[in-house]
Amino acid sequence: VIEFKLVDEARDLDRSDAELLGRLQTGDSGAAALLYDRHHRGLYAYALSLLRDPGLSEDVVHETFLRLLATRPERPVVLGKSFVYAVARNLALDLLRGAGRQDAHRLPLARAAQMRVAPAAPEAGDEERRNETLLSALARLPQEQQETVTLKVFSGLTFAQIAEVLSVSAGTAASRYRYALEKLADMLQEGESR
Amino acid sequence: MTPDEIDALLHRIPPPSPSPQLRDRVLGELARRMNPELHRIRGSRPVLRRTRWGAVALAMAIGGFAAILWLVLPKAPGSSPDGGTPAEGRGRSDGDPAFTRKVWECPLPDPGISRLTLLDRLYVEGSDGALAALDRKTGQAAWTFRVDAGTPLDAPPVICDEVLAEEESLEVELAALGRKIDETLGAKGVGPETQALQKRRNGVRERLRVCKFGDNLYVVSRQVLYCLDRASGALKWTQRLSFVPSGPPAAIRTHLFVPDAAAARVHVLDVEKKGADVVAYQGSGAAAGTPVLGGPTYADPSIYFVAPDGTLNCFRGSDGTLTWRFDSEPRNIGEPLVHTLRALRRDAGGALSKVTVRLILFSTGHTLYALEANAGMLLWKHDCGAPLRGRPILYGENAYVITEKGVLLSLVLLPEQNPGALSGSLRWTLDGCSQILMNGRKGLYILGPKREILAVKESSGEILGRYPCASLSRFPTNRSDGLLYAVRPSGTIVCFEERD
Repeated sequence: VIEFKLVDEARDLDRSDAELLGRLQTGDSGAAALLYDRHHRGLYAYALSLLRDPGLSEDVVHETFLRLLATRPERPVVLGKSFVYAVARNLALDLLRGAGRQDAHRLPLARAAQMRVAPAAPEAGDEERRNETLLSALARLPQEQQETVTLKVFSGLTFAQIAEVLSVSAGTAASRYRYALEKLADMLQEGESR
Repeated sequence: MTPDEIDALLHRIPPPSPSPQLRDRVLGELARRMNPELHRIRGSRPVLRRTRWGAVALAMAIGGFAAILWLVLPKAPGSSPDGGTPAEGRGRSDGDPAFTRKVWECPLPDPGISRLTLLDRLYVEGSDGALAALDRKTGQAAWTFRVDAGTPLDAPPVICDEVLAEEESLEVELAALGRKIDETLGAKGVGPETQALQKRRNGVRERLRVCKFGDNLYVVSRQVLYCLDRASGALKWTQRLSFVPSGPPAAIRTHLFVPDAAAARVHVLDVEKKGADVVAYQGSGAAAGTPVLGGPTYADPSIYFVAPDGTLNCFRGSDGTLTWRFDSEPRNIGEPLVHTLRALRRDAGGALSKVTVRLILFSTGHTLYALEANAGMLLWKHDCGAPLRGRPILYGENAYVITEKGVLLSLVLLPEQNPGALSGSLRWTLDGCSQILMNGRKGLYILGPKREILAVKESSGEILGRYPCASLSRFPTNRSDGLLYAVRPSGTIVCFEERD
């Protein structure tokens, strides 16, 4: 029995997101857990980059999975991962439009991220300091570039998937990412020269 | 640093993680929604694993049982679903009150149902902290929810009536604007007039969207406040309260007013800040250790709250300014009820004129008080002979209260004669009553002392009929439509209407 279970689990890990989504919609709680474990960090990081509010970002992750469950099973989801992120994006943008939260509740991404990663210790090493500087610089990028970087780096999407989430072409997504890296390099250069 | 180096650095940064509790929250909610509606209320009861042969055996057993029932049971006349004239026994089971006809029945085979609450839906509470929302007219389960700890709810669920009313009016306005835009487009095409209408419609949509933020249902269990989306039952947020609430909160779109059991104050929680305790409105008088039944009551723009020392406080809802206070005795404090009464009255010259009075009724000790709610002026009070059970029920221009001794009193809300006499105008009394169930077409239906329902003539208090109801329990009081809800011993919830 144990062997069978292990084989089943191993097979589950190989399943595509689209297949897992299909199973989720038919009420498979195992698929729900697998999808959650696969995507919760990426979704949270993406929501956090848009909302800058850890509580609201958790709400978006929560609501995203509920929406996935509520998607009509007769309409098959072929896009898989990008579909999941597109749902989260719509929810986050709805929230942003809703309560004028763009300005009122925005935290720097670095601070918001650290609220969940680890508190900044005074004796933090070079790497932590560099990470913080980099995240602060990332938070100063234009929104479309921030989104592209977050989806690429923290959520692990390909340019084709990012393009589907943001409704742009894959070339645009790739060039946004490139511009963002160049801008980040410039920002860090300026910081060091000061 | 080159862009490629930045790329490498970015990939080395660990992504931010949500709180570990989020996993349980998400997967728990998903599991709850995946299960069939009727199984959710059972809470921790495991769902049986069904196999193909098990399903076949179950189907055969059900079929056999149904066949036996069909042969054994007498055929009730009119039992076909033809909508014809109801005959004796139609739509009723043995033990159901004879004046009723069954509208629907919801088999929740869990005997642990602890309370039914009638709001926009029928809310069914389980003893394990489960809450199910059923449609009042059909009994269909809209959603179910269970508090994390599996502890029972401290008080009935609360919704914001103000938001519901606003949503309804906005949806009507939206539909009317949609029709008008279509007509204008058809007649005049795209132009300034259509654009103005579309702009107005966008404004209404925005108001409706904002309104939905406050369209919540609140429950409290063991000092934790849960905020659910009223329509879907999805958990929006939870808040651990820093105080012990003495009763259910009063809800408006943006805030919650929660009474503090330890002091004469009402805490104001901000709904948009996930229930953060933003301020407390301090009432006059000290906590005298007297239990306060019920919570505060909101009627725009005021909050009414009876402190444990028997003082009725009226705060301005927006900033907590104490507008007026009314002192009474610190004994058996009842829940206040605010009601706007519109009635025709004769003035000094004998001419009829429309009168609109906002009344607040509350009781302490044996006395029922009626005050003008805006100024706190005492209109009348009545010695009911014993402390009151529950809050007054209003039908038309009359108030009905039941005392701890089981006496039902019918009082005129706004006595026409001698308003300065400060005495309530008693219409009639009836002994042996324990709960008002509903106001039907033939009169009031009251739960009597011997597991029977009394039909009472509303104008005189005369008993028109007695109907045994030994097999039913947990009736909620229905203040609006003439439907009667109850729980059978098996845990089935049943809804009756009054027979013609």
